[in-house]
Amino acid sequence: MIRICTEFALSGLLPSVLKEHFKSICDKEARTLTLLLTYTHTSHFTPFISACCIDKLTSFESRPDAGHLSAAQHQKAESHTSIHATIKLIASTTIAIVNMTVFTLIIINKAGGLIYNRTFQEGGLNKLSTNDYLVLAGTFHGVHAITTRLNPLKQSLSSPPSRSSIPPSSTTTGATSSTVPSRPEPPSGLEVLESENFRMQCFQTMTGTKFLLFTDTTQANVDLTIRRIYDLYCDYVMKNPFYQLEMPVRCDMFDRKLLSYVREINNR
Amino acid sequence: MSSNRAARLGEEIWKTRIDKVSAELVTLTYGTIVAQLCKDFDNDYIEVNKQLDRMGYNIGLRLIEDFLAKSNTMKRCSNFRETAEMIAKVGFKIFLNITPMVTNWTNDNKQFSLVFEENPLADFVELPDDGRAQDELWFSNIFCGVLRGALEMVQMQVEAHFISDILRGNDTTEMRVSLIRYIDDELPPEDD
Amino acid sequence: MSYHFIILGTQDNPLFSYVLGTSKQGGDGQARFPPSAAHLNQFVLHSSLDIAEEVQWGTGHLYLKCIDKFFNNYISCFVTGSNTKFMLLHQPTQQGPGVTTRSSAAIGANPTSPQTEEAIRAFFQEVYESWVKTVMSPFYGLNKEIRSPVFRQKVAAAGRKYL
Repeated sequence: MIRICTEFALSGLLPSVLKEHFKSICDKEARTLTLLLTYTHTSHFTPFISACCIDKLTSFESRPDAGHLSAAQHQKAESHTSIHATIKLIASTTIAIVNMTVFTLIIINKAGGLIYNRTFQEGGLNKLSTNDYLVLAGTFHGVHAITTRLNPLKQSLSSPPSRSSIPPSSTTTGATSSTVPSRPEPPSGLEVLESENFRMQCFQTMTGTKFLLFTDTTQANVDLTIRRIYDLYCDYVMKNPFYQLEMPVRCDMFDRKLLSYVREINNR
Repeated sequence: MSSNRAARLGEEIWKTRIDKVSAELVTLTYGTIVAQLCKDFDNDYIEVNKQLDRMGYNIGLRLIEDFLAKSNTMKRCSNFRETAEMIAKVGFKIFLNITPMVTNWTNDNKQFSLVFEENPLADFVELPDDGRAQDELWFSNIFCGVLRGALEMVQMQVEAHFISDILRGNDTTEMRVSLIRYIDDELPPEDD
Repeated sequence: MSYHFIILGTQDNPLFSYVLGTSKQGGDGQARFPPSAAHLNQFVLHSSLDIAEEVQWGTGHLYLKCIDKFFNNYISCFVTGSNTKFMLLHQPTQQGPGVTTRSSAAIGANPTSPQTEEAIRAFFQEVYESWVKTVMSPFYGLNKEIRSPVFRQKVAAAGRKYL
């Protein structure tokens, strides 16, 4: 959703095109509209989008089944500016909730498959379809793998001094005896990704499992939060004898512990 | 990580972050499992060894995450010697409160022995006196599997087996661990 | 004094049997039972079971002390919590040429003296501790014969130490 708005903003599409998009989105779920309003408001192209929203609300009014939008409908009866105020109101309340929040956790196994995804804060980030999450996981895995190879400079800087004492490990390991074959630290890949609305931190364990945590941009101590989630994962997923490794995580205990932990953070 | 630091780390984690259970509970549980396996496989001890190794392997695959989380390991060991120290002084320490001795390195630093002075799994145990168990059964063979599984998850392929056991009447309990290779991410072959 | 120690399982089935002689006061640790005693002892010990089963509910202790006497044979008994019985038959040596020094307080001279009682208690206690470890072995089954050589050694050691 954010992406859509951003795209529109950048490409400067005509309101009629937007309208089509809004229609398809809003027809699925009226709630989405509210969310949309929230996001559009927080960005700098508010007037442009809100105009479209008003347009959309008008069309909603004409629909007989749009009863649950009655508040907005009521507002519509008022002047143009009061709708703008409503949008502002919705936006500001949502922002108050959104502040300092852990939105979503995604766990990716070492093969790049999505094994867990959970959204904690309703209205924080838009829900994607399961398929999209799978694609996100796979794509991120690939991007992460590529970014680990994106550091030729560091490697070429660090290897010459060590070559004198330790044999290069890549191909000739063990060829020279009596010295300890060394194993260089693997380069780390993409760790943080930030957008206007969220911050995504990636923590990769030594075994290759990745934890992606989507938080509010102002969220502090994400490192600790992820470590704690990792602890929970060890205790309630890995130690569950019926959990099959590398398979999707379906462990009630983990869900419960995770939820209560994140709720604690979000309510702080 | 130096040997001393590993020992300190193990000690600290053992004291602060580990839930303790009765040693007898562990010993009896493990003993029962082995005895039951012997029964199930008609005292085919070679097969029992294999089963124990497999069970250990499955434990290792899971246990490694717990080990990494508890020890807060963020960097991987830079060589196999360091790995051995971590296994002995942190791994065995935090899970069993024992510190086997790392010794008998080969020249290429790819093989070492763990010598167990105490072995909580084998307390009270006396092998069956059918004349074969003493020669065929490695009672604590689950350790081999655990190491193999755990190290595989951190990209090390190893082979581990016992070469002596106090239970069999040897003077020491000794396990041999050899590094076969590092399983580094295999990149597709370049076109050149 | 000559001793015959047996352990009986919960079904009164024999699990362990060990014959020893006194080691105190210069004893050589050899039993001096008459040749016919080897199988007779078994009968004597088993015939005391009825008494043991009566006495065990009367005291709050595992050690039942000397519970029976059959001619020159004295039977002491110790019941574990799981109703396994340790029974010790002790037979003061008849006046013979082998025994020279004897004081009335010495263990062996007087099978019912407090000293003897204490010594047997200590013996039972030590055997009990080794027995617990032995039955903790995963390869040992309930009411199975105790074949552990280690246990046999420990019993022998306890015998040398206390009897």
